[in-house]
Amino acid sequence: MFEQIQKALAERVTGDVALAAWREASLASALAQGLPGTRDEAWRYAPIRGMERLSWAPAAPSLPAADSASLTELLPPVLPGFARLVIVNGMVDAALSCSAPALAPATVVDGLRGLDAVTNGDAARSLANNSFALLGRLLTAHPVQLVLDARTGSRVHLVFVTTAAGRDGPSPTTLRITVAAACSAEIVEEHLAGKGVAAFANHVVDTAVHSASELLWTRLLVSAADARHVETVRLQQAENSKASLLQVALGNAGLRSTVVASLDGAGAQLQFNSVALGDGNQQLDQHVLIDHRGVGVRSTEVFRGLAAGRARVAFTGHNRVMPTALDTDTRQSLRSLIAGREAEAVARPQLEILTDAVQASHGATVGTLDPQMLFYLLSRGLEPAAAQSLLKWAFLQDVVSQLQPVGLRTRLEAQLLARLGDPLLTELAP
Amino acid sequence: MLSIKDLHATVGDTRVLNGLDLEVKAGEVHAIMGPNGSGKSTLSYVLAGRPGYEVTRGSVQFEGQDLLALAPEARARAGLFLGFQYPVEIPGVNNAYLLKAALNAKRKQHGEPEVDAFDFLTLVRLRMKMMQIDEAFLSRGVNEGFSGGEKKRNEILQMLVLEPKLALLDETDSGLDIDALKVVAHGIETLRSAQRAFVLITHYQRLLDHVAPDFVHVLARGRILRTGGRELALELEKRGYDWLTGQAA
Repeated sequence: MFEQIQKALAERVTGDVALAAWREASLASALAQGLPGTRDEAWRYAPIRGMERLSWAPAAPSLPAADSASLTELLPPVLPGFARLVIVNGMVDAALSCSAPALAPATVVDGLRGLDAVTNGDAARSLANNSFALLGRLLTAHPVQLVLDARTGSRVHLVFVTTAAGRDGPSPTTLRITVAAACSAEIVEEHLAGKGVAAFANHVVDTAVHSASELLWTRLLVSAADARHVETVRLQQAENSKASLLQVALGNAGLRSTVVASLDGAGAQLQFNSVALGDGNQQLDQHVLIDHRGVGVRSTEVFRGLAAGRARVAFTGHNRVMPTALDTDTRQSLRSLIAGREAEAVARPQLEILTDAVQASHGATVGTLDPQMLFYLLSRGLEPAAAQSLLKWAFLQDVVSQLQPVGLRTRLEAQLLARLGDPLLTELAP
Repeated sequence: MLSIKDLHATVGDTRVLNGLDLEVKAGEVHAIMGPNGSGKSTLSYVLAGRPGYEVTRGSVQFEGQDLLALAPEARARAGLFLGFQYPVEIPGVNNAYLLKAALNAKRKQHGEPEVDAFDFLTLVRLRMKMMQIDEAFLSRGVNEGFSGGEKKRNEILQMLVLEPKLALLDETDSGLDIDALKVVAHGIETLRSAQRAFVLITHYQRLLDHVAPDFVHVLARGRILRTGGRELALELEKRGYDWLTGQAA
């Protein structure tokens, strides 16, 4: 596998000696640890079987034909007030982007090196295995760098599209976001895959939220049902920054989302919300580590997962309070619903407190639909199927109702309602 | 309208109803009173079809149909309404949606077209005004964050919108202050008609000051021990249940 990667990289020789050296070192690091397996506790529920049999040598990135009708059809509608940046197979497609903010100038190697913290930071190391992130970075040809400040504008819709087949290995994409100090930014990040190509994305993100800034970040993992997506997301927050990160895991045959948030600065606040809906044979796994490091930091984590059919929906929420994080306040609510006899739902809270003077609460439940609620709806004349769909919808609302902007929430709600599959529910759509 | 004969029912391993007989005709209001654990709520749940309440003997006819053979939703659409003693909170499902879905389920059963949004809102606003419920409640989750009194008023609002043939109100008066009790009683009186019947399950006769019953029944140990008029409720208020049940308080 790694020989094939070396060969693929050799074919992409750019004459950049520094880049070649950096890639060689990264490859050696990935080689040393190998790919994670499901025996690794942090990867136990990840859909990663058979990864070692892939060549991991995707073709050099290329944009599909500019007049590709299928690509245009695939793209979501433009969000009013948002600049749109479309990245196809790892490359920015200027023709499909609009009012796109200027990308930060950087050489490829600097762009990739800038992501070192994703793979080498303390928090990342605690995940035990970060070879996906390493491989994603070293195979990326065009890292996307975004600096959001008063000059560039602060509302961006990022659309990542993978149209390459994933049979040889995942297509790498790398994103680096910087939210400048005292800036208020809003990012919608959406991942899509070409229809019928069984795409496989390996996505690496590093986001730095500087002091006294605010970030509203919505991530939609809604690729086609035959696609796979593995990602490593790092969020680093400076003092008095506020971030709201909301993830929606709806598509993909297999999804592994690793999120590492580090609340470094004093007074940093993070609201992490996630909703996952799996059916059929979908395997959706999210592993979130929130590292509390600064004094007086706050975090709230809410997960709502629903597993139907033969799907497996897993969420691990690891909240760690470091010795430096005095007066931390951390709250966690993980709830999963099993809505199929062969479905599996996992909600794992992990609280690790390494200091005193901490307010911490956590709760996790895995269960079926509440029989009292169900009977109440039946007693009002609703059909059992409609009542069950309604309760599933209600269960997800804790997170879905917080989606912003409204136009995006409307679109996602329509997708959710279609998935829940009861015509009666269409009246719920705004 | 409702004919219950020799009804026996268990909850888990506990026998709760032990040969209960009751006849309710259209236009009548029946009050069922009784000490704690006598089987009042079990009767309402058995009639509404709640899972876990098993009928072991007896029959229940409702409008000529075998009620016990119907699923809970079919009982509701046939015109049976249960006002819950403890209404369930359902965050994420708003009141307006539930009311409309329930109303349309009933209309569909009767071969009527679905109610459109304008007519629905007109009807609901009228009923909400009657129940002194703020319109903002329509967009809130079903019973979510409601006080005890608000939940009971919301039950009566649902009853007013659905206009059932038979309403079983399980301790709808408990937890209500005197003003709320009057509002709830007014809601019941509004629907009272020659085509409709009510079974009021209550601990106290104070609801009966506002809704005059045609019959008062005393339920104890799973069966009706005595039936009388409103004067029976007044006597119970004075003397308690011991003189009837022969048990110490």
